[in-house]
Amino acid sequence: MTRRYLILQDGSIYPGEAFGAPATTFGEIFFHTAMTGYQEIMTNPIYHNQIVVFTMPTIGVAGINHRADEAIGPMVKGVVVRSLAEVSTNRLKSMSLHEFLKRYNVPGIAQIDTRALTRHLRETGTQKASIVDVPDEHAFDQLQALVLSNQQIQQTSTPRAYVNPGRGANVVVLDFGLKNGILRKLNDYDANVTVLPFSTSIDELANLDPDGIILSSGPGNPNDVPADILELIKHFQTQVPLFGIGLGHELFALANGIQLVPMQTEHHGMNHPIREQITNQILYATQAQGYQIDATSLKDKNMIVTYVDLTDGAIQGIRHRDYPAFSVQFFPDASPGPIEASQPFEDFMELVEDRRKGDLS
Amino acid sequence: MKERVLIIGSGPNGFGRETEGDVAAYQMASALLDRHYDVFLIDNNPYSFTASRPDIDVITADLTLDNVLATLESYNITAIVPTVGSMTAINLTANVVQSLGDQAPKLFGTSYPAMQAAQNTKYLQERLEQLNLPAVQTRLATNAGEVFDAARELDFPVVLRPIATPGPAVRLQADDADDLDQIAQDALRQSLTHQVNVDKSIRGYREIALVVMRDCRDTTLMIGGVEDLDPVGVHSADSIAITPIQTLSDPITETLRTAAFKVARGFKVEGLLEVRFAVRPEDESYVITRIVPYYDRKAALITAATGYPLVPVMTGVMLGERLDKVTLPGIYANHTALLEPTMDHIAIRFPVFAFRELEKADILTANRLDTVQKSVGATIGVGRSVEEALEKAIRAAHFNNVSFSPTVMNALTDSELIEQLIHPRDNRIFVLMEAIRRGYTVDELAELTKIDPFYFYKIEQIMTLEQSVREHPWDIETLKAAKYYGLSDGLVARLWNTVYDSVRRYRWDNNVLPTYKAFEPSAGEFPEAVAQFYSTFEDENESERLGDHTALIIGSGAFRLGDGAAASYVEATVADELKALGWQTVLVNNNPHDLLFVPQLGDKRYFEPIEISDVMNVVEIEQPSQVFVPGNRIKLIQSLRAVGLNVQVIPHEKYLPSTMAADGATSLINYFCDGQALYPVAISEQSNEQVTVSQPKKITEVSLNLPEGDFRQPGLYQSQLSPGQLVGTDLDVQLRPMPFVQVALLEKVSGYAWMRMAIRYMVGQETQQDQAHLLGLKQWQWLHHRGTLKYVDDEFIEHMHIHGSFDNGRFAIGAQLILDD
Repeated sequence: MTRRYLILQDGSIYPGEAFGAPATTFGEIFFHTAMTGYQEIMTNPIYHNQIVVFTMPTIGVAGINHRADEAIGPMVKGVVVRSLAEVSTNRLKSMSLHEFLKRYNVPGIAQIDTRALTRHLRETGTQKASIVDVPDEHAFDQLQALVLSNQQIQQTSTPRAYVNPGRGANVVVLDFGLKNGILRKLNDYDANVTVLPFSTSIDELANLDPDGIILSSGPGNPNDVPADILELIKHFQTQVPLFGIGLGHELFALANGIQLVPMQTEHHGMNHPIREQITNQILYATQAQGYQIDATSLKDKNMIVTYVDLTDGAIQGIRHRDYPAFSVQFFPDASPGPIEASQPFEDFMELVEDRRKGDLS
Repeated sequence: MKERVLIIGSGPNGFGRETEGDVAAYQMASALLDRHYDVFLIDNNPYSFTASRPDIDVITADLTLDNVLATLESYNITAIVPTVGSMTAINLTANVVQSLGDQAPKLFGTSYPAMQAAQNTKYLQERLEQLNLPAVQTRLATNAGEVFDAARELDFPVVLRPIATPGPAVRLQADDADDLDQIAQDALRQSLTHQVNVDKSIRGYREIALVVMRDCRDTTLMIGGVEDLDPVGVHSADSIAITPIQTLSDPITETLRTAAFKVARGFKVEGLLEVRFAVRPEDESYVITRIVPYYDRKAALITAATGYPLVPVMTGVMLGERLDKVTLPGIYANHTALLEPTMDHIAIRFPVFAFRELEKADILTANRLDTVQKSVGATIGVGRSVEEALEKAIRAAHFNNVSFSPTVMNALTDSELIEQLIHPRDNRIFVLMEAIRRGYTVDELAELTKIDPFYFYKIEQIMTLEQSVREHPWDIETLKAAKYYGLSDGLVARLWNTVYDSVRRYRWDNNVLPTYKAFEPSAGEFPEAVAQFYSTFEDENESERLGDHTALIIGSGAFRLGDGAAASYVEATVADELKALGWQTVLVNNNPHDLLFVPQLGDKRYFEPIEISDVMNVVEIEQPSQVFVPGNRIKLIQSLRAVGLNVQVIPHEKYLPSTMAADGATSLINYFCDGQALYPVAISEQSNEQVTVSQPKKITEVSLNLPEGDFRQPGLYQSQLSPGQLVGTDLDVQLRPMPFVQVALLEKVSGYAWMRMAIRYMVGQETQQDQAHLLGLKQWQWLHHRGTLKYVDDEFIEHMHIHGSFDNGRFAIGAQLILDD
């Protein structure tokens, strides 16, 4: 094994052992507290260009199984773990984590005191980081000079429209960095799905005459998103059932004049209790959240809060009082994570079916 | 009306009944008292720490339906709790509900159907089918033709279970039609009713347990999951167990989690529920094999491993509090009850067996692991990698560093090795290691044992490391690697042919120091208040010295044969008393069942092996003013004293060779020593069946010549009384510390906390009342004038297949307490 180093913008150095690709990498670093689903997390476009730290100390045991992909190949720029399973033994796997990362030129670093790192990041918030061969001045200079892209939707959204045919309702998914879980879920309803690039115009979308629109999850700062998208949301939310997830939820909020602010402590895990406000039911769902709705800006916006995170009160879902439009911050499609939070899909498909029957319009 | 809550105890200790029920009952009693409930406990276990609480009503009676019914009546009980008293309490409570029907008191913590399903597999299977959840497939057959039809329908392999056999339950496996041909008639013949259950065989499936909680509003959360190393076929308590689950992917984990919630909902459980699964590794299909509606070893393991306040939460939930509103002890954050614990460490439970101990005493047993529990105790090893956790668990189980010695297994022939791989024994892990050492491939071993290859790679890793340590004496990089993967200073010393202290000093000189990490349920996401730590060798240490008036109490590790539970009772008493005396207490132990881990007893807890080097590392952090050590740890005591620590020995009879022959009844005088003089306090009689203790009728005060040395230590001692000798007369005393078993008995019968008084004398905090008590022994009246501790050995004999008699005083795990008025 080769000694390599994880370095942080604030000057911290963590020596470890290399795995995956021997490349040098840069990205924003964050920690994820899930105990399962490392492959789903690494391949989720929401983590595009980021370096993931897993708090689960043993990673890689289940290997890589392509049915668990959330996109083609890893989206992260680096993987930081305590103890890597060099050989994966799960019967359903097709390769090991090491081989997978190597194939896609993504470096990993093992034998890191991930608990110390997590506790550090908890205090400093996310920052820029790099996995390098030598933690010298040059490496830190490069890290300081690194400008994180604000074009992540452009980089992860599909460049052209495609269809995932089904025999049911006509559902359009606007791809802001779509994860496969959303499509898998729509398959369950046999929806006829059209996935559109983020840059789709109002007319192009209207031509498809959708029964419902999903605003997908995706990476980056919602405030960096082109204003056209907000216009499109405003246009359709009055007419067509609309369901935002993750970044899609944040954009739905922005389109309705609600402010989004960076979170003190980001949510990346699957163990927070989330309360459904009407039924008071508590559920668990995978979260990947760096921004939250500023609750004060929500007043007088004709929205009701539908879900709240009980650990810190962060708003996890909103619904428009007048339109068939709503959104959730968490992942109702699971993959990975608890599968009990799928009710929003049920709600959405109900609205879609109502519209098809002519009850809405 | 204020509820009057009866907690059903688990009775004598035994298989599946270590002290975990007592640990839970103690905390539950605290949680109930905090809410101003009246708390009652019925139990006949002489070692029950909960039963020593002065703030609850204790009914000492055998756990029979009649006794419980009488208790319900005479104490006006309004609610009954069966969830902290093992299967004993479940069976008993189910009987209560059956016999009283609508007149039964409220049932707290579980439901009647859940209790039934825990008792009756057939009922469980039927209910699971109704809930659309997969159960083990079973068909009833009354002739050979039907047996074959069933086997073909279920697909081989199948297991035949004759119904109503005259002897113990029989299970016969058939892998194909040829096998079945041979056993079908035989199986039918063994049934008195000529009926056979044909089960789809799940032998070789992976065993997984999930512990979940559900409240009155149907909020469900998963507290944790445990994976067994050995597949179905070895009793779950006898397998090495790992948490969190390592080898399952996310989709199957989520499927099992959802299924566990469905079961809790389907059986209307408001409280804790453990659901056991068997997962087929080839396709990750699964069946539910058992449900456990009480706090058992898996719940204890998960509580220990996550730091989740499981008992306070389950108590609140059983009283109808919602998970988002449940009242928790002060140190926990608001969200703690609802935050699903997520771990950033590995905890491994390692079973401890008694075969060798019995062999040494010339007692024949069948050393083979099967579906009947054989282990008598367990340790827990915690680390940041599987290797580290496993090394620490093994070290904890063996008290020393024999773990990976290549010489241990040399004597085994190849065919013996194969035989033991297929039919596991108590030396499971060593056989696996030896097989790897002899060059078996991981695939071969996985096929033979049905153990996930992942673990073989981990074992291989450890062995490679050991080899490297041996080949590189005094190489600092190798030492760093050894420490990183959990090898102890003692093991390294042995591999380097030196003493542990040299390795330790070398390590110190090179700044290779342990770092302690917190057990907390958020994996570092939130700053949680934490009082529980384990060691590893990484960058950041989170444990700071607790204070300058601390007492370090060292536990006695895994239960073995004999007085494990009694020792646990005594040590818990010591910890509790020290806290009451104003000391800050730091506890070190590695037994996940032990009473020392009742959160109320310690200001700080370390889950560590108690090998000398591990203890010394804790000592260095804490710099305790006093250290309390069980008397049988002679080398440890010497090492602690050698570094100038103030060591108090908790006298333990194994410290001295026993002079008490067990033939017939022996009379003993028991003394309390205040450090100066001996005060005769009790007469006891012991035989191989029981110990009886009573208040001496007449006490003559004489000063006995105390032998020099450890008898100056305050505590309880005893000496044999020759026939015809008068109590208290001067005699050529052969003193030995009073066995823990008898200490517990004496305290329960006399109604006086002798051990607590001994502790006060040890630390020089005795009171005037203490002195007055000793001087007024003549006038003082016992709570019960006489009491008997009767050893319980029938279950033990059955589990271990023991033939003939054995020394109960030495081996019996459990006992029942009988009080005379």
